[in-house]
Amino acid sequence: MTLFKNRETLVCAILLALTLISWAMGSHHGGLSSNINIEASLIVAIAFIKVRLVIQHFMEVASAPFFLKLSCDAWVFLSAGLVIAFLCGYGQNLSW
Amino acid sequence: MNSPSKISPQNPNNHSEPNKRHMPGEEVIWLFILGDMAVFSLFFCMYAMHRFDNLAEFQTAQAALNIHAGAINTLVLLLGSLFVVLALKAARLQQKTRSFWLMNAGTLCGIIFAVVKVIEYKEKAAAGITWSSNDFYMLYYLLTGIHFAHLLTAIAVLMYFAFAIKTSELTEQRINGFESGAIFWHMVDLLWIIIFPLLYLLP
Repeated sequence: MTLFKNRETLVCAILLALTLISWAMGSHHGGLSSNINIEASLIVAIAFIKVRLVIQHFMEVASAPFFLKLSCDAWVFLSAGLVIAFLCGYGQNLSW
Repeated sequence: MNSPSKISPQNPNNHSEPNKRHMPGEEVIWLFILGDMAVFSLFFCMYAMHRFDNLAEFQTAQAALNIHAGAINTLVLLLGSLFVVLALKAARLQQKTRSFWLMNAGTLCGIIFAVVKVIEYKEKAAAGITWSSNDFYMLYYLLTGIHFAHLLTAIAVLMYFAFAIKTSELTEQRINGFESGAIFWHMVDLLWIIIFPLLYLLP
């Protein structure tokens, strides 16, 4: 693993790989699932996995005080949950 | 508050020792970052709801976007983030030249993103597509426009840091400032990581 001699380079490689997977999914809809809600949820979930990797490893929150880790994780999971729920139609009775 | 003694050229990774938690950057930058991210979350939710309500319209409008330009910009921003992380690491080790060039590489990635985005905007304008064309494009210009303003700010911050690395001592206080700037840059990156699939990739 000489190519990935530090953690940040490995994390970046994972992020690039996940981006390529999302790119392929977005270019060929229906490849993984014919259900539009499942496919949309997968694409958004991959995005938030990437976001958490950036927060933990690039923003150095993994080694930060507990309250900061908690705040960032709360934002990631709450945002991901709400966006996926709304994309799947669970917010149709709400109005902005 | 940060403990300046935690990071030193002799032991730049001291903050990652077990039981010694390190607060990256200033506390106030985190208040700004988390507040900014919360506002963007509202935009993302608003977009998701409008998309569900007007799925056919959104799918048709989305098909006119250049998915490859969006993906290339994502890859460019991720590489930029890696450069900024490595620049900060080098700064902690007092490797000024290495840090300077890595910071410039990060800045260049930001500029490439901006150029690709401007080309995209020009393509849309040439095709007669504006923010008032439909709900999708109103949200497209809202999300990408605010993100673009953040990106330009982040580029300016990185350029200033590159200048500061070259011209001044890398004190613990200055490195703490670099950390705050790097956190802002990474926020710009992570917001695009969400904007890209929402606008370009969804089925």
